[in-house]
Amino acid sequence: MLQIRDLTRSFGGLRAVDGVSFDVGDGQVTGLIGPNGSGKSTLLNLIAGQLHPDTGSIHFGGQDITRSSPDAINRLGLARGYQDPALFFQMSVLDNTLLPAREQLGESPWHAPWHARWRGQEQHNAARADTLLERLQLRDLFDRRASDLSGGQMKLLDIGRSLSGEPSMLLLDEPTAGVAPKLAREIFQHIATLNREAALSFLIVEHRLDILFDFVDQVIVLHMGKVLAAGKPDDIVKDVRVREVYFGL
Amino acid sequence: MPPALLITSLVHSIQVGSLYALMALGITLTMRVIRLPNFAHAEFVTTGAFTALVVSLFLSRSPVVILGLATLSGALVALSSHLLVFRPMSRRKLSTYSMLLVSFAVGLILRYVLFVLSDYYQLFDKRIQIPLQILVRESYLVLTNITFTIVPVSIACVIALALLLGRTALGREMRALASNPELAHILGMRVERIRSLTWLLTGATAGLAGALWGLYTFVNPLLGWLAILPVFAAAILGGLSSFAGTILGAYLVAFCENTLMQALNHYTGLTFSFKAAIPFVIIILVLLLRPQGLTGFVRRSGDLER
Amino acid sequence: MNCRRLIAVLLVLSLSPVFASGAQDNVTLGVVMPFTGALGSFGSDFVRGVELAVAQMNAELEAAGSATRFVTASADTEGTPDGSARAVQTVVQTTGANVIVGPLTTSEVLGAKQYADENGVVLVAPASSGPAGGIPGDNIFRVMYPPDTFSAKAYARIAVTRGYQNVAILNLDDPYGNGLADRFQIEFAAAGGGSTTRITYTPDPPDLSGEIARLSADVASLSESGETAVLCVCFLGDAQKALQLALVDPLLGTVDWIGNEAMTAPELLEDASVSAFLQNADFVTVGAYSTETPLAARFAESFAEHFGNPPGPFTNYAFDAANIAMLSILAAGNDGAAVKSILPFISGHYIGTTVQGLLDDNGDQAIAWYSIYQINADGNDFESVGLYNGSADSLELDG
Ligand SMILES: Nc1ncnc2c1ncn2[C@@H]1O[C@H](COP(=O)(O)OP(=O)(O)O)[C@@H](O)[C@H]1O
Ligand SMILES: [Mg+2]
Repeated sequence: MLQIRDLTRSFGGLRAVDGVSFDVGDGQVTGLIGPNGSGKSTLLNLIAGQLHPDTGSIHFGGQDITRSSPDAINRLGLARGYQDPALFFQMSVLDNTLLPAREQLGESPWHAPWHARWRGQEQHNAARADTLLERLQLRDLFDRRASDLSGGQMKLLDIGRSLSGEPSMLLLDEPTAGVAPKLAREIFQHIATLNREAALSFLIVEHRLDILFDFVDQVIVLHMGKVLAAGKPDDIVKDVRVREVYFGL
Repeated sequence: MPPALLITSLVHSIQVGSLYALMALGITLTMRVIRLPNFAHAEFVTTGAFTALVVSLFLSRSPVVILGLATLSGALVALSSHLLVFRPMSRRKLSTYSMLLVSFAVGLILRYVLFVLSDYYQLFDKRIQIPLQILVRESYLVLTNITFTIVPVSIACVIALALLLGRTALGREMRALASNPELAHILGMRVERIRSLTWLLTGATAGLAGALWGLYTFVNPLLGWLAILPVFAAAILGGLSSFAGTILGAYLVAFCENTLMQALNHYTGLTFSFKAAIPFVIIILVLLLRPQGLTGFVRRSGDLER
Repeated sequence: MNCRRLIAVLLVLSLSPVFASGAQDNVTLGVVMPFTGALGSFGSDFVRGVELAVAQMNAELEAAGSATRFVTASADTEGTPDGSARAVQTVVQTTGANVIVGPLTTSEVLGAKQYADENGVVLVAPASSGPAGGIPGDNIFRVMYPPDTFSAKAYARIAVTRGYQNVAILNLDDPYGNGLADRFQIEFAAAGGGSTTRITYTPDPPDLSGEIARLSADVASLSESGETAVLCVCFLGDAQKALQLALVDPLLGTVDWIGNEAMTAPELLEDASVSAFLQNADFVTVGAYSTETPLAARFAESFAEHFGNPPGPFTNYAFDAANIAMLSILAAGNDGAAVKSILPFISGHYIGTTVQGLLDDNGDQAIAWYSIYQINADGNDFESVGLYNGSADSLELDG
């Protein structure tokens, strides 16, 4: 699904991402971990097209997306959530969830004035958004302004918004930061469900390793921009180098 | 206050308020979606008025044709200003303040082009050729065909625009663009297309408002520019963001200019020369005391902002 | 090498004015007019009137072997008092002009007055007529076009002659409108008239709905004590707005209307309902009466020859004002104080395109004739129905 080869990106003299290569297979959930400043967010930005690499390549679903723009990448079905939730803050929870839906008839100026033409589709989208919000426990808040939500709810809405574009792969940056532990586990349960039912692939940056390790198929450990280790969760936990830099043992 | 004065001034408040609302909505729309306090809006209005005049003089006297072509002309002028000036300028990442000055310049150029054209083709001091007819005369209450054109057309447009923005996917995307342009771009919304459509809509409402304003008064290159102050006052009452607040603001400004002014004149002898200062006073008071305008009040009563 | 050549060029350049001034004596005649704003087209035409006068004068000076030549330097007042002061200052400071033709309206004249008085600059205004500009001893001369003190008398005489007890006034809130309305109230009372009411409106109003509603209320209360008329002192555009509203007013169509000179415009009658309304209101207007002297025809001919189109309204006054200014300079020298002293004498002995330029103590035109206009039988234009002689206060109506 996603192939990353020799990816490098520097800021001034600092190599934030330094020769990173790994694959994410179809329907796989991959965890991306590493200490602060190890280059995780930069890597996600490179994949999502918000930054372009100095060297290296990124392929998604067989297509070269190394230099594609964020919207083109989004259209291909690779969506991302943000560490600081990116929402349409002045709009309602429901609007935020409805916006990314594809091929909406009502967005064309020729169709918009005729309610009958897009009513069916709008109802269908709304029903889907409803299910999504229900899963994320945001349903009761559907008509609130996004800016009125709590930090955790905003993260959930950010995920919900990313999902409603029906992507085939989702990049998530610390989806459980600021979320209560119980809800954090539930979020990962949703991720697992989506992974199973919709065959959705994930690349997740996460600090809560206890939860993360229960749900992922593989873990990539970044350290100072380089891949320190990659493998199954159990192997990673045992890896001496990882324990040194990451767990401080 | 004599009943005649009260009734006529209330009728005028509604007429003028409807027109202010139509003009102010365009300003709020560009302010929200394009993030530009667009002073050239005045000249989009004037363009509509001149188109209505020229059409009525040389092409057709049918109100539908006149208003239709005026609407179209406003839309085209707005879209070309966007494509030729505003878009290239905003690509240079100018500040809002600089963009405001750019909009002043665009307005100024359009205004003097209209001056030159109306000088050359002898279009000064002319009226749109739709004859005035009195349709209702009940003692003090006089309603003309102009009243019955202006008020329903404006209100219908205002409602249509509000529905478009509040209920359709297109409107949702416009609001999204207003709220977070970067995210809208990343989500693959056709940002440029939405911007162009916004300009078309803004221009169309301005052109229509200009034709109606021209019907209500008469056509002159300064027509839009002279009305822009109360219109901005209305938009500022709407916090430059809320459509319901803007509409309410438009009627409030018109009410102050007509009924309140009439009462002040009647009871305190304040002269009508003060009328020109009313929008200023409103703008200053709002900015000092309640910069968010009427928005706070309006949202609670479930509005178009959603 | 380069440097030396540069110095040589600079030397030649710096000497050239010396040679030029040795051959010719250039005198700058300033022109300040509104080129932008609502009166912009007037301003542009007036400047051409001045340029024509200057061209003719220069040709005659050359033929006579004189070394003196006039050149013009113009600046835009933007139609505002401040802009007018700036324009005069710009012309004076950049060209050293001591005598200026302009500006156009009374508010522009008053805007530039302080600077002109303090710096000894003489303003020769060709069309300003507001009574507020009639100040004795200042540096402002308003030649050819009579001040509205006279036309106010004309309105008062018409009102009294027609038997109006009371008059409801709607006027422009600027020196012209207020001056005329003020004087009218004084003259109307002096001529035995009854009550008057006043509504003033700011120039260029977006609309006039409140004002017209109030006018109707004024007419209602005045009518209780006798026959009432409306006096409108407006720019044409404002008059259009006012009449559209008056058309549907239940009361304003039942009384007579008097209008100012700007309302003597056939454009007003293009709308059939407005024309009918005004005919029904026995609409009468007052405009400066101009007997054209033979010079007027020559002026119009040369103007058309020079600029390819006929002169606009009042442009002949700019032509006359320029001639009076230039003759005064030739007589007393290019010096503000000297011109100020001699200008009334020169003007009084100059017969222009319409009238002899006799001035009163205020430095304003003293001969004032006005035409009285009414709408013609076809309802599509105005025709003169009488004359008013301002200096003698006599009104003669045809038939
Ligand atoms: N836009 C930027 N400009 C300069 N340096 C940056 C930028 N973004 C990230 N960095 C630097 O790159 C390194 C990696 O940052 P980041 O990817 O945010 O790490 P992480 O997400 O793993 O905490 C850090 O040292 C950070 O300071
Ligand atoms: Mg980070």
